Amino acid sequence: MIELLLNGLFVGALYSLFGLGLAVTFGLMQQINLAHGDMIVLSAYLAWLATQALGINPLFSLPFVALLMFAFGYALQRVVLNRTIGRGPMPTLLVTFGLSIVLQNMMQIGFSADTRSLQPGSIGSAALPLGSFSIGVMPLFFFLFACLAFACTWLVFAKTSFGRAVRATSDDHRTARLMGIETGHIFSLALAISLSVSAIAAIFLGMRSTFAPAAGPERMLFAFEAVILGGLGSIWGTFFGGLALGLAQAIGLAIAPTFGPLAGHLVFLAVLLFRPAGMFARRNGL
Amino acid sequence: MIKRIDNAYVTLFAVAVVLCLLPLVLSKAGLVLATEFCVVLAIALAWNLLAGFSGIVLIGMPLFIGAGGYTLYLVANALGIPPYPAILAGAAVPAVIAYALSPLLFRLEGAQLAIGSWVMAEVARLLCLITPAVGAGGGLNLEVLRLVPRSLRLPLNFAFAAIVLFITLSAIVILLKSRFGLGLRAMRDSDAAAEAMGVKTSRVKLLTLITATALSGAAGACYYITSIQITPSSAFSQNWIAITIFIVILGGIGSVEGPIFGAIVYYLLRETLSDLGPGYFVISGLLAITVTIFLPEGVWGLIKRLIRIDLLPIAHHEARRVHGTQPTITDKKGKLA
Repeated sequence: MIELLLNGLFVGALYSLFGLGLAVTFGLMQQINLAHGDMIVLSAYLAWLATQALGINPLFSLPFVALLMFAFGYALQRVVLNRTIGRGPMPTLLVTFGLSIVLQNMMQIGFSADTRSLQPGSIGSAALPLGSFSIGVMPLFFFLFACLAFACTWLVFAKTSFGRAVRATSDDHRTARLMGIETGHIFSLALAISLSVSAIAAIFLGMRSTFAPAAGPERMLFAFEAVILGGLGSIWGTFFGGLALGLAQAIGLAIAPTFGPLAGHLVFLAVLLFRPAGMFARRNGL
Repeated sequence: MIKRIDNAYVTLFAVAVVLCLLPLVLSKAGLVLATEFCVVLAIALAWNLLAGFSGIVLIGMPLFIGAGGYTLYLVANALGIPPYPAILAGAAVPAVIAYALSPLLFRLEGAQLAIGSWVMAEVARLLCLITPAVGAGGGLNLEVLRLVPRSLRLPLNFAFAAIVLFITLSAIVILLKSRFGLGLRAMRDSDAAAEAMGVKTSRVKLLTLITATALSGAAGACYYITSIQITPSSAFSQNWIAITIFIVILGGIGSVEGPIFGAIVYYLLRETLSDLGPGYFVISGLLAITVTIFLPEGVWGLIKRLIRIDLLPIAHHEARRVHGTQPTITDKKGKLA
């Protein structure tokens, strides 16, 4: 039973990480990125390329992948997505939907439709004995690393002038510009950060299970569920939203093997029904 | 003054004539393609009614398309009748589902609505996957199709898809030309202002949702007659919404003509480029992005700017009579929409 719940928490931490990037672009910038899942899968492929080329453990590919995704995110926002600001949520939604299809099919051209995974090496099988059961070192490490990633992101967006600038821009980009904030640059940095923290999620995903070019939309659903469950605008809300999702799936899986993802979705819909703003929604602040 | 015949009715009549002539001029393969065209266009029109005219971005539309298909299979197979009358059930059940879900759907806005409805479609897919009564993962076969003589299947499939398309187009034009359509557009511009002007926004939204889901359910039912088989992963597939969004963006969101032109361009692209496989999707995706950014009114917006024509004018008659003065949202009896 404890093993079951722990497993749910570990899977949930992965969902939280899927959601962390979205919590930035969606929760703070109110920009809907429907290609988020495909960008996570793209990061996983980049990590795969790095491990193949350099023969390193996937964990050490993180700096490369995060840097590449930072550049990709900055350029994407600067060149494409900033053109849709101030035209309501629909154009961004449509552009990122198009982008999702482009990315999926480009990955299929580049990497074929086969599933891949990242080899975790010796850390993959190591376990800590804890009385009657044992927990894997890798999931525990992922969990702690996820906590760290959330803490860092929260610090950046809650405590720095950059974070304030992002929130001011999303509240009212015209006034923010009047106040001397270079809104185009600020939003581009925010998407860059969103995608580089998603690289962590991508590497953990690849080490834990497999990925394929079409795997993005399902990850994106989990990511959005974590963000909406937690409450828009709350970074820690997303963390607990992801954990709740993981727990719901683990309990569902224990009831019947086919019931896992369904249980997660049903919990999400129930929260939407009773608390549409999410569990930890706050209008301002983080 | 001679009373001018409304352009919209001329266009609807022309569409009906073209749809009647198609079976006479098209080859078998052409007729199969035309059947799919009718289905996809009807769905795009219905989605555009929601997203383009009332701001309800229902990414979960495949829920209603798939429900229409499954209903047709279950009803026709259970009654042992030819599938075509069951299209009616394929429209009714999605509308009832939409009505039941509407309290939840209308509590949500923007991204919550988009993602929430997507999750609902995913839940429907997962539920069908584990329910033996609807064939679980293997899906269902349309056994009653053997009641229809082989030579009649193709023309009948087309006829019913064409009827659904024509009903969809007429319903949307009539709806948007009515008082109700005025309220709808007032609501898209500002919910609060429309409500203050006496538009019963929740009723308008509900009627739009039920119309759009019934029509796409009927279209889905027609599509799955032609496919002979239905599975959870095809019925509730996000492919449906990808094609729909592509067509609506390309043609021009928020106009009735837009999806028609979008669908024509989509089929021209697909028939010429689909040999490229994934490359074709990359090109379509890039095209959709470019059009959204640089041509927000789509292909139809461009045509309209060049030749200044309204094929399906939906402006309210009163609003048009005072064209050039202040726009108004009262109808001829002076009552608020």
